Amino acid sequence: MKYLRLIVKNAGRNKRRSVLTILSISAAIFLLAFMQAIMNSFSSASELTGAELRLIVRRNSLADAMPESYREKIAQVPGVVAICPANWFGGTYKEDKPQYYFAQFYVDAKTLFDVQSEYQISPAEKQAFQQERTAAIAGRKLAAKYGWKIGDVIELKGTFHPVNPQLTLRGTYTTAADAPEGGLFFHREYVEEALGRPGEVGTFRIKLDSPASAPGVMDAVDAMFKSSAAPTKTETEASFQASFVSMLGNVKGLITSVGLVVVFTISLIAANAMAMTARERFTEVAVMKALGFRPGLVLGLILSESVFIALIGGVLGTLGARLGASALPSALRDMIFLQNLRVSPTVIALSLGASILIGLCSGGIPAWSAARVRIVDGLRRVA
Amino acid sequence: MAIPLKYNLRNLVVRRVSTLMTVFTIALVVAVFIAIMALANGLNAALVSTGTPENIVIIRPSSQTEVNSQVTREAFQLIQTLPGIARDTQGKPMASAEIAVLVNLPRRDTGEATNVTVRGVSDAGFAIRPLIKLVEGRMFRPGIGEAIASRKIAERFSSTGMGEVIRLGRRDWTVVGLFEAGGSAFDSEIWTEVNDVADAFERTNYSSVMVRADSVATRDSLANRIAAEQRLNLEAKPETVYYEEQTSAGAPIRGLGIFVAVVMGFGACFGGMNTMYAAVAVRTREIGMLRALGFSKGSIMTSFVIESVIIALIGGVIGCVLAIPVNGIATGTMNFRTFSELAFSFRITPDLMASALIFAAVMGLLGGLLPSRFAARMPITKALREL
Repeated sequence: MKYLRLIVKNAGRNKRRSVLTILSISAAIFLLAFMQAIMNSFSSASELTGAELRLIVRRNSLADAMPESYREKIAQVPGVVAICPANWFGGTYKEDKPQYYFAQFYVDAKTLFDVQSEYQISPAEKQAFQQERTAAIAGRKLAAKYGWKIGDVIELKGTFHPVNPQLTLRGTYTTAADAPEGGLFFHREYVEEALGRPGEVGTFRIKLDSPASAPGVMDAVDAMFKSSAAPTKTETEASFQASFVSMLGNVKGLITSVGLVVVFTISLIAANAMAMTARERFTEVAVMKALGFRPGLVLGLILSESVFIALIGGVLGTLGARLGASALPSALRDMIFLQNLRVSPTVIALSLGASILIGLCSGGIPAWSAARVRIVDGLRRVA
Repeated sequence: MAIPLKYNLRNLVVRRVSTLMTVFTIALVVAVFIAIMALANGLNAALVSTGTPENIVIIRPSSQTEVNSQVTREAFQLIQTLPGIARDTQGKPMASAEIAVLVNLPRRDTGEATNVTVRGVSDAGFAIRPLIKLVEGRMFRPGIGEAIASRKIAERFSSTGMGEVIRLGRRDWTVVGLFEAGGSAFDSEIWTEVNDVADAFERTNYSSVMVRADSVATRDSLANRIAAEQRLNLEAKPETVYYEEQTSAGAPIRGLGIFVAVVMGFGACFGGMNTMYAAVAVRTREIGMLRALGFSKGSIMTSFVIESVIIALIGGVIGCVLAIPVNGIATGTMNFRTFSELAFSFRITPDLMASALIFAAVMGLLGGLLPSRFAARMPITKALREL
C-alpha cells in the first residue's frame, strides 16, 4: 500500500489525458450498466411479491379465449385457494400513442384481491370498487402519471372489443415501493354485458395454498381440458411474463453482443492512452529499475495505475447510469418492458468488475513491455 | 494560407500505432451503429414494402389490426356488390375474406414460443397480392387441412417446414408448399383457406376483407364509399397505409441504436481527443516552426481538425466494411401492433452508410476541435524552445 501515493500521483501527471480516458471509460460503463438494467427489467416481473403463489391459465394462442365454465372446474383442483378471470382489454386511452399505453384488465372484482393479495388498498376504496359496475381501480403510480383522482371518469376505446367503457376511478392500490406503475382494473361484468355475454375468459389467475402445489395444479388443470375444444396452458406468472420477452426474439443476444463490442472498443481506447503514458515514462522506468525496483513491481505499478483510472471511470459511469435510469424521461419509460428499469447492486458490481477488466486489459501490454525495459536502453534514450 | 494535406497524411503514417488504434475504435463504433440501424431499417422495410397500392383493407373501426377485428359474413357479401372493385378474368369481384389468428409456435433454435399469424384467405387473396410467390411444393387444397408457410417462417419455427404436420386450432395441417412475399409482412405468415381456419378456430366472423380497387386513382374514393356505407360500419384504409401505421414497431430498436451510438460516440470522441492531444504534443516544435514560417493560427487549427476528421473517416469506412456481412441476415421480432412475429432481414442502405460516415466525421470533428485549438494557440517562442 505504500505505493498507492505513487500510483495516484502518476495517474494525475497528465491530467488531461487521464480525464479523457476516465470519461471514455465512464461512457462505456454507463452504456454497459444501462444495457444490463434493460435486460434485468425484462425479467424483473419474476421478483413480484406473491408471484410464486400465482399461476396463469391461458390458451396456447393468446388471441383465443376459454369458456367461463372452466372457472368452477379449476376452482375444485386441490391446492387452488382463489381464482379470478382476467381479460386483457388493450383499449386506447386518449390517443394511440406510446405515452398513453398502459395495462388494462377487466376482471372479476370480487376475487381480484384474493388472487392479487399483494395489492394494498383501503377497505373503503375496495368496497366502492366492488359495488359499482362501472368502477375502476388503478395503480397509484399510474394514476399519478395521468393525474387521475378518485371520482374521475376514464374513457377507453376498445381495440380488441367493440366496447368503449366509461369508467369511474374509485380507488388506487399500491404494491412494493419499487414496483412498476401497475394497471387499470375494471369489472368483467361491464364488458361482458356490453358484448352480449360471450362468456370468454382470456386468463384465469390462480392463487395457490403453497408454492409446492404449483407443479401438481399445473398438470391437473391442463390434463382436465386437454381433449376439449379449448385446451389450456398453465404456467407460473414469471414464465407467463417471460414468454412475452422471448417474443422479442434474440434481444438478449443483440444487447450482449453490443455490450461486448463496447467493452472491447473502450479497452482499445484506454489501452491507447496507457501505451502513450508508458512510452513517455520509458526513461523513468529505467531509472526506477536502476534504483532496484523489480520488474514485477514495475508491472504492478503501471497495471495498478490503469486499473485505478479505469475504476474511476467505472464508478462515474455506474453512477451516471443509476441516476439516468431513475431520471429516464417518462416518454421512454412508457415503452413496454422499461417501466421497471433500475440499476441494481448486481449491475453495479458487474459494471465495476468490467471496468477493472478494462483497466487490466488496457494496462497489460504497456505494463509488460515496461517491465521488460532494459536499463541501458532506457537510460540511453534522450527524451 | 493552408498547410498542405500531405503534411497530415504523412503524420498519420509516422504515428501509425496510435492512428490505427483510433481508426479501429471509430470503426467499431460505426459498425455497431450500422448493425443496429440496419435492424431497425429491415423492420421498417418489411412493413413499408407490404401492400399493393390498389388494395384496401377493411376492418372493424378502432380495431387497428386485423387480428383484433371482426367482419361479419353478411358484410362481406355486401362489400362484394359495391361498385369500384376490380374484377378478375371471370368477372368475379376481387375481394378476399380473411381470418387472421395468432398461434403460439416454438422457435426451432431456442424452443421459445412466439405468436405467428395464420391467415385464412379466399381464392381472390392470391390474385390481389401478386407479391406472393410459391417457391416450393404446391398450393393448398381447401377442406383437407393443407397449408402453405412462408419460407422465413418454415426456416425458423418448428414443424412448419415442407411436408411437416402442425397442429393449429382443432386440427392437424400438412405444410404442402412454401412461399415468398418479397420481404413483406406476409413473409411472417402461414396461409390456408379461410373456411378451414374458421372451422379450426371456431370463428363465425371474418377478421378482415381485402379488396382491390379498379385503379390507384379510384382507390381512395372506394375506401371512402366503404367507410361511409352505413349498413357496414367498417373502417377501410389503403393496404399501404395500414402497414405503414405499423412501422412504429421499429421505434424502440431505432431508439436503442441511436442511444448506443451516441454514448459510444462520446467515448470514442474522448479517445480521439487523447490521440490528437498526443499528436499535438509530439509536434510542438513543428507547430512553432510552421507558425514562424508564417502559417496563421487558423491554418494550424484547420490542419489539425482535418487530420482528426481524416482519421475518423478512415475509421468510418472500415466500420462500414465491418458491418456489411450483417446485411441480409434474417431475424424476427414481435410486432407490438399485432403481438405477432415479424420476420425481416438486416438491411444496410446507402443512406445508412452515408449517415454512418457523417457520424464518424462528426466524431472526428468533435475529437479534434479542442486539441487543434490548443495547437493553434501555442506561443511561437515557447513552442520553438521545446525540446
